[in-house]
Amino acid sequence: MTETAAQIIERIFARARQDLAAAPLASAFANAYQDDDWTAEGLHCRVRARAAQGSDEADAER
Amino acid sequence: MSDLRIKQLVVDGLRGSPQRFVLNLDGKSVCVLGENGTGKTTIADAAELWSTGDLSAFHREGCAPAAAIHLDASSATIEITGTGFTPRRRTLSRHGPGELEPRAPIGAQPLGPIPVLRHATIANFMSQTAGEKKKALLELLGLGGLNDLREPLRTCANLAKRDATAAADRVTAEKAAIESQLGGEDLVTYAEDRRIVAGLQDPIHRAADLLSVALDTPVSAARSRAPLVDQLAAAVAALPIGGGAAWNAAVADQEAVRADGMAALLRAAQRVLSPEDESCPLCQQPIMGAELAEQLSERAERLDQVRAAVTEGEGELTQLVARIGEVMNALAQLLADAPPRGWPQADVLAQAERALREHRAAITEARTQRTSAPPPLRLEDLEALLPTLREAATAADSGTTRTRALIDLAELRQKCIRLEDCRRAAAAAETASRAAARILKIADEEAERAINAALTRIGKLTADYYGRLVRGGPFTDIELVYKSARSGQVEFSLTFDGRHHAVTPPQRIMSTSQQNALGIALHLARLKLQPGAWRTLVLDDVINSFDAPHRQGLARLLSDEFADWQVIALTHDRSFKEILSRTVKGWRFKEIIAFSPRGGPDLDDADPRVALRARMDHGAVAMEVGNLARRALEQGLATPLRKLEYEIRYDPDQRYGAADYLQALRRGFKHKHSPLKDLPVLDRMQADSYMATLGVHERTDATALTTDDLYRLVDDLDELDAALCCQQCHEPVWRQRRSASGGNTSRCGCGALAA
Repeated sequence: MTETAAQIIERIFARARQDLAAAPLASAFANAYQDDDWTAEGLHCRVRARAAQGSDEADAER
Repeated sequence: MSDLRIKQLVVDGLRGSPQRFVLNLDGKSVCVLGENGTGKTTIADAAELWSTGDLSAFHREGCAPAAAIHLDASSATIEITGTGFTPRRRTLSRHGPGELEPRAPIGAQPLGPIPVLRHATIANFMSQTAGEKKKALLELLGLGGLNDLREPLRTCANLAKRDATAAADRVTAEKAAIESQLGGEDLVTYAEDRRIVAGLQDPIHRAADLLSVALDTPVSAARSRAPLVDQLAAAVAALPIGGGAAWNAAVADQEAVRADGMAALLRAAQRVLSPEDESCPLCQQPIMGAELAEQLSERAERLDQVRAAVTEGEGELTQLVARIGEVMNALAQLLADAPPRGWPQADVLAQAERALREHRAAITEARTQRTSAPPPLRLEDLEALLPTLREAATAADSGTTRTRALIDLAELRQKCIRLEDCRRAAAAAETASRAAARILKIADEEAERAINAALTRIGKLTADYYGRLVRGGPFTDIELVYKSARSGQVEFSLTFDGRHHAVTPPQRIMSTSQQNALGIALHLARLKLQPGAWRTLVLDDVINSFDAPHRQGLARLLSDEFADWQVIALTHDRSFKEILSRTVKGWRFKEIIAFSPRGGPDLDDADPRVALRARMDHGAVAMEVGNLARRALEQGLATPLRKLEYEIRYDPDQRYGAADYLQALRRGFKHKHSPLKDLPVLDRMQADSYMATLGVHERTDATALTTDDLYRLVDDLDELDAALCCQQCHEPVWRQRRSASGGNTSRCGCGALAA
């Protein structure tokens, strides 16, 4: 049976969540896809937000 | 909802169909034969527009679907009834296509697009680049979502990488700023030195101590010393301008003026005392030498005193200028020490310096104008100010040094904090960039795996179909190969003539026709593997570049693999229709027998005579309906000929015209000794001008015909039909039964004596 694009994309995000390097953004990207915000600008916005969050976490640790 | 088929397609006002056109299919496959420009593609467009709300060909050309409305119509409607769904209609207005409206309140589920394969679609696909093929194939395979996935992901990963680089650059810049301030000195040493100068208590042993040094209070204290500078400025401002008072006073001294006069007297007396001159040169009286000498001596002494006073005044003035210069230098040094930013007293100091410079200039001017009016400046006033000035300058200078150290520490600490912030941001940006890049990689891996799986399946079936389309061709091992280069590419690969290496792209070794065959094989394979809801397939002139074996191959493939599909094959090629009629089973064959710009196509499943009369009644001119008239005439004569089983001259191509039918019919009547042989209408028809124009089986030149000619044609055919019917029951004469007694007498099925 042929796999649909939606199934493949779901698997991509599932793999990303489990991948050590990809995990920090996996949920953000999956949400972007669900929110139909799948544009380079939308994704980049989420990347920046995630980076800022990472910076805040480092502050908190400090 | 699946296995959808079309029972009836009704088009009105779309492209080549200005009036209502009905294609009855009853869910069966059909081959519609029609010459170019007779409305075949209108059928394909109607199917596409009805099911998708769009016309891809128009879309590609930048035209709105509304451009498909016939020039004489204000809107177009397409209504399709079929099996598996409720009848639906879509209206296309000048504002665009409307929604698909169900003709019943239930069953409004989406139906999906009716597959339409066109020659242009196939040719365009095959001429695409490998990148374009990949996109198009993913759309065909229902994996178009993967096309939309990658591009934003890739761009985002690039932007995230750019962010990370920029953040790393900021870290480098902050490091450079710190190093610049340190001037090659060790950070701890630098900070500790300034800590001592600033008079702070807690020593700095390591870089981290710098961050904990309390600087706010010392900096505030340093700033509180600012009134000293204000004091300095006030002192300078109090300096009276217009100096040189002592010197001027000396010059203006009346005694000094007198002394000058006395000098003149002295010179006169010396002359008087000389032996040659014995009288006073002024009063001409005899001179008393001793008394005069005494007076002269006194005056000379006084003159010396005045000269000394002038010299003293000059010295005082020079000393004053030197002192002012001293203060100015102190101020200049103070200013050069770069007071902290935002310290308003810097402006005050500068103002003070300007005031002193003006003062010195005024003194210089006074020296030049020695005899000017006595200025208000008193030396003692200036001297009284100088200690104050010096004290203020010293205090300010001392305060600035401490403040400078504090400021250095504060700046260094601020830079260290910024560096730390930049490092954190850079680490976070780097993490995000790595994550984005990793997700892109995962997406590429998964997409490649899925695409390869899909391509393997469709590639195999395509190779199979192509092999059946082109039996015994030189191309084998046909595959669809995916490459992840750039945004992904798909291209056919095949071997030629049994060689051991694959060739790609196929354009290198395949003719256009062979490529089109490959393209059709691919699209048919796709439909077979992913059929969707419809079991209807529209083929619009796909065999344009095919030779006879290719056409035979396609007919065979349709017969073998798409027997359970409803295929609507639109073609202008009569030979393909003949091939299909010999190969496929259960198909219907229709022909567009006539077409007019204002009336649209006419199918052969309607009575051409009825259609002709209707067109004429609607105002059609003879030129428009020539083909329809020819068909009506041929059918009107061929039908009785065939029913009566009369013979017609042999033609291997079976290309008979109305004149042939009329001649054969008359010969048959004569041969059978039928009383119909003398029908007047037969004579009239043979002699009429419409028979001269329409009687031969070439394309009709209807320019010579008039509307009256055609009305006469229809009337003549009606009269012939009437003559061929039983006078009682009006059944055709070919239902007559020969009487049992033999002879030429026959009886109709109703029992009446037949003609």
